[in-house]
Amino acid sequence: MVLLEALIALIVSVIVYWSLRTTRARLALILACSLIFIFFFGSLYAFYALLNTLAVYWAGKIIARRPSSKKLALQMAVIWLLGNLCFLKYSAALLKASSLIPVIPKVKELGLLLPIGFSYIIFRLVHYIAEVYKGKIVNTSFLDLSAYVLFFPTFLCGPIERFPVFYEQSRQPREIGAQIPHLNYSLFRIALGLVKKAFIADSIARVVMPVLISAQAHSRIAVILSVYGLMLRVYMDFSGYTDMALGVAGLFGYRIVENFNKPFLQKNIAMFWRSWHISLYTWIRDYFFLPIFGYAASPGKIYIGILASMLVFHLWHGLSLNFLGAAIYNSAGIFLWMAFRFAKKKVPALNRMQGNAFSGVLALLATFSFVSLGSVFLMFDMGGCLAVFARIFTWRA
Amino acid sequence: MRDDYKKQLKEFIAKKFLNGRAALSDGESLFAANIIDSFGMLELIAYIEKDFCVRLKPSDIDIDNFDTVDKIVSLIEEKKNGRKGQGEEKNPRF
Repeated sequence: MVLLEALIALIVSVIVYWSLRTTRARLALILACSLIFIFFFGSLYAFYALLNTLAVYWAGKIIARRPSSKKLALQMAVIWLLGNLCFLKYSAALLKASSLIPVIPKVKELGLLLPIGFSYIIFRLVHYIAEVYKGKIVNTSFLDLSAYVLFFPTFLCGPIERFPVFYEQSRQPREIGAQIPHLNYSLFRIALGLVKKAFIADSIARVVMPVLISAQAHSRIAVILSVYGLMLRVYMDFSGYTDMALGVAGLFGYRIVENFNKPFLQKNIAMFWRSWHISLYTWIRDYFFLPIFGYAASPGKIYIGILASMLVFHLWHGLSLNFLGAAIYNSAGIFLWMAFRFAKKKVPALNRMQGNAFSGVLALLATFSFVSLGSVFLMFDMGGCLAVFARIFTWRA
Repeated sequence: MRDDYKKQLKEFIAKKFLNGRAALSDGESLFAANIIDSFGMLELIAYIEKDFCVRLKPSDIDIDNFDTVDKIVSLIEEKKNGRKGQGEEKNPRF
């Protein structure tokens, strides 16, 4: 019933959107739809999202108008945003952890829950304020910013579109007639996403999850195949959501950035991470890795930067041991690949080997196997992960 | 001078990242062509600071400034001369 109501609401808003003539009216409609969408998760969430957007918009105005205060305004805005994110995301986990230490007095849980999709709002706002600081974004209105930040098709799980792209697209003169091919393609993306999510991902889950949950009771080969299946499930699930987000955005004429680029056809772990959740990868690169580790760069900083970036990438999901394990595991994979890249320069035979088809297939399989094993960290707590690894790597008939 | 910078920079990129690939053009995107990734960019920054004797500021560390040989040389010139280079406009406003 909810799905039917959502579908009717979507169709009505698309029809109204294309009947509006001005950019302002269309942006206002998008903002209204987004606020109604967030409102269903809680009225406080909609208010909270708007409040954060307003705070960043105001900081942006200070940066633009008062050069002497621009650095302070940027710092305050980033601290406010990341402080909000960390507090809402990690306070429950930290309180739970503190309750395990006897000397720390018990604190009643705050009962706070991170509004769903809120971290994507924070990512977009950090991007906006950083680009305003650099002088790449100027003269925007609050309507532009809030429609971009709260854009409902990408609200729940991204991708993290960049403001200039959104802004440019909202200004392009668009007639419904010229959009027909894109609208058809958007409907196809929605259908593709539904098939990926509801049929493929969920079907794979029904097969592999029971095996992995009781790994010790199954054969090694069944567990290994289930680990490969788990990675496919994660991909189908997430890329299915992304397809739907891109499709719904496309119905309003927006072409949103792709989040995946054939991740399972990549021949090393670094290339895999550049093709997986691309919008978050580029966000971390541009607003964490390069600003913090790029300045006064040294070879040692690269390794620390990789580990720190992986920690951000994974601990963003939640503060738990399995995500910490995922960050360390994937960092180790990149370090190994960098060591191999270094060895290739010293040993010409390795370089020659890399050119043939067999080594290409081997590299592809090795990368897929490595990331598949890593996907266990994303789906199970540390105890569950260790049980799966123990079944694969310890000898038992 | 600009040509000398370009030659020196291209030699470093060829030695470090090209692995025997065909020569690099001045306007080719190092990131879009997968020649350099973000880790490689840090190696490039360390090299530029050391061998060109320039000090980059945090605000210079932007992927746009390192996307092509032309842009990198413009940044080096800007740092050495204390003025904007001859390449594309830095931080263009959309």
